[in-house]
Amino acid sequence: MTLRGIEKKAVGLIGAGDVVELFHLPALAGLSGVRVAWTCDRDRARAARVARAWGIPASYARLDECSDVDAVLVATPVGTRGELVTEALGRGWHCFCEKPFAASLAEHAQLVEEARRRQRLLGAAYLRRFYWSTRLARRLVEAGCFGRLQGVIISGTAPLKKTGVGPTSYRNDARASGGGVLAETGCHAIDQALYIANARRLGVADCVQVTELGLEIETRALGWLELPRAERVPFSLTLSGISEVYDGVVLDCECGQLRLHDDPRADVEVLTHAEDPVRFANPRAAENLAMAAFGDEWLHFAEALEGAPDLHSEGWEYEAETGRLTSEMIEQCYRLGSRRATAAGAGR
Amino acid sequence: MKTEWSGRTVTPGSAPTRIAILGASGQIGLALLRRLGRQPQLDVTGICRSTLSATRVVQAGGEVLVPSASSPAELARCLANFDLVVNCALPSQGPAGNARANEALAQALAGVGPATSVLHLSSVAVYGNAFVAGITSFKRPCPEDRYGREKLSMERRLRQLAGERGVRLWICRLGHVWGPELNWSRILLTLAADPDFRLPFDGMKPSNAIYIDNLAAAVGELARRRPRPQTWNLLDDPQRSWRELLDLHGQAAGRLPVASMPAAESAARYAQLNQGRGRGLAARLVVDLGLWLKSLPSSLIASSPALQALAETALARTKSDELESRLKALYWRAVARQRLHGVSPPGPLACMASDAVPGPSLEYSGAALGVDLIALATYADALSQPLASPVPCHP
Repeated sequence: MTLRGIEKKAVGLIGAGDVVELFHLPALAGLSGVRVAWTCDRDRARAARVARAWGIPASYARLDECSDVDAVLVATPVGTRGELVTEALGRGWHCFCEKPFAASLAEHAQLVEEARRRQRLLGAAYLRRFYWSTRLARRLVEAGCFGRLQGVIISGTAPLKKTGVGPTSYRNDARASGGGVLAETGCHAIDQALYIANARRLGVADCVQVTELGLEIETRALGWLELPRAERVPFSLTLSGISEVYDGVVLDCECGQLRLHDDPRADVEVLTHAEDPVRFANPRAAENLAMAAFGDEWLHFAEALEGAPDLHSEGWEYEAETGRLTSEMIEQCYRLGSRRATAAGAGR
Repeated sequence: MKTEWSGRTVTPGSAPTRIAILGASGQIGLALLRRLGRQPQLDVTGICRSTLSATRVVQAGGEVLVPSASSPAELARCLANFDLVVNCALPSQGPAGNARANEALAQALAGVGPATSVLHLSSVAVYGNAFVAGITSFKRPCPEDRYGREKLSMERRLRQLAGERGVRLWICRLGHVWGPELNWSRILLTLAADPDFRLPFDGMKPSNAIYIDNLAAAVGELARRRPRPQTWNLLDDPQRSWRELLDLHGQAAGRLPVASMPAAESAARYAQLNQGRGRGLAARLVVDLGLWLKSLPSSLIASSPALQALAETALARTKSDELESRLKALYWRAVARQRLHGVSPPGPLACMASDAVPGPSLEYSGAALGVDLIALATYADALSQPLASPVPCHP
């Protein structure tokens, strides 16, 4: 886990919540080419506490107080992120954002455009791309090891059983959390599936959503994905906070069905027409792979950061790195889901 | 004339028992709410602390209340409107945060007044995960992980406060709760499907478990009988062995019975689990510290269970977020630096080596309903099978 450069890149942390404290900071601590310069959180006491615990020299409550850095992590709720990213890019900082990347497709496009214009890197923390199982599945699908990809199933249970969420959490607010469990939790599985399938375009044909107390808590959708050679395959999406469903992504290929569980330690299982399933055993199953994936995504971004001379970020695939298709699927689901709900309401 | 509500029939004239379930969106809270809601003469309301949690309860067809309470006294005033409060809430922060949350909860529960009874659902984890009879007792339980320690300290605090304020308090130390949509069943279904799994002691050890329908039956009966304040274990009656439980889950998932780990191998593998148990923390610390020093620098606090216990106890007592943050940072830094990923918790397999929990169990009737294998099979299916492949819907 080392970078080639000698001078350490300075990183600022916007947002000092649990994900920063429990995952990003340990991951950054493992990178030799990066130093954390400050934390910034509207809860000044929290920013200060996290900074003290991790030996970070400064903490702030407002972005305009923060000193210059090379890059920032933006880990505030998605509904509050647009302005912060714009401001950070405006100050010439590269931005790495927590998931989901943007609250809408329009905001996504606007942020990417802004980063391009300012020639700054922009990335999103879609963690599952760095799972061993995801990488293997992508290679297997790309190589056509089990024949042509014929369909994709995206399925997951949103962890509402033990939310640990207090009354003031952003997750109680549809706007701050991006709409509900589809954006907040489902974006991981969607991004993982799109990454494995190497999808280029998509369309959601139908979507049914359950909303309660202003929050979306279940989404079921059908649609199509366009693959690199322009062929289209169907997909289904089930994401539920109400009932437990299969947690994982399934790639339905001609000669077998690849199954990836959402647990980063899980094996890749292939159900073939033969009697026994083929199992690719995860060689890193003993590790804390969630933590390792955080480390790997930071390494990926930090290496790009090191290789990106000032005012030159050509070659950085903004749409792919920020998961533009993921934002598009989420937006299409919410648009169709709410249209259906409105139609049903009108029918009553 | 009868009034219908959520499929339950209430006869006007006989006031139903009003029950509040704290932590109603949790796995046990929600399962209880669904089942108690079907029992006659019980009027059940879920209490949740956030809108997000409340959505699950509303979807399950239950009534839910999200109190705007900002202090234990306000929450107590809200709970005082019920005849019985069932506490299923489980804080999920660090030791310091949990200690604070449990204290606030204990204050609220003890502040409900004499007209409201409180049933606190504790856990058999207070006895430890894998123990031999004699090491831990009903009156002097000896937990071995943070979960067990927090449950025990909550019991003690509640008992003390309820005694001072004259609140009728029942404490049930729940066995491992299993049934559809419950974590223990998820674990057992996974084990039943694992071809490499070997059941320790051939599964002949008592499971110390309770089927969710039995739990609901017992709570309903408690609400109606209102015995004097007491503490019990709450288990399947009669107890099931781990073999019986695994076979039930295997059947539900359409699997063959899992293979056994021979008794000698089981005994050898589990021999070290109780080393040092029953000794004081100081004595265990000395032993652990020696081992820990030898293992430096590849591991830190996490490699010494006693030191870890001591740190957690200190954090819970001081309730210091600052200290907790620093310790966490220290630990995580070591994890990141060495790609060494901590000590895994004892996990379910340790429980399979345990003897029967000591002490009296709550007796209840109405539990002879049998196990709903179809519901369990449906759950197994939902977990293991994605929905059917998507149909083409090209534009």
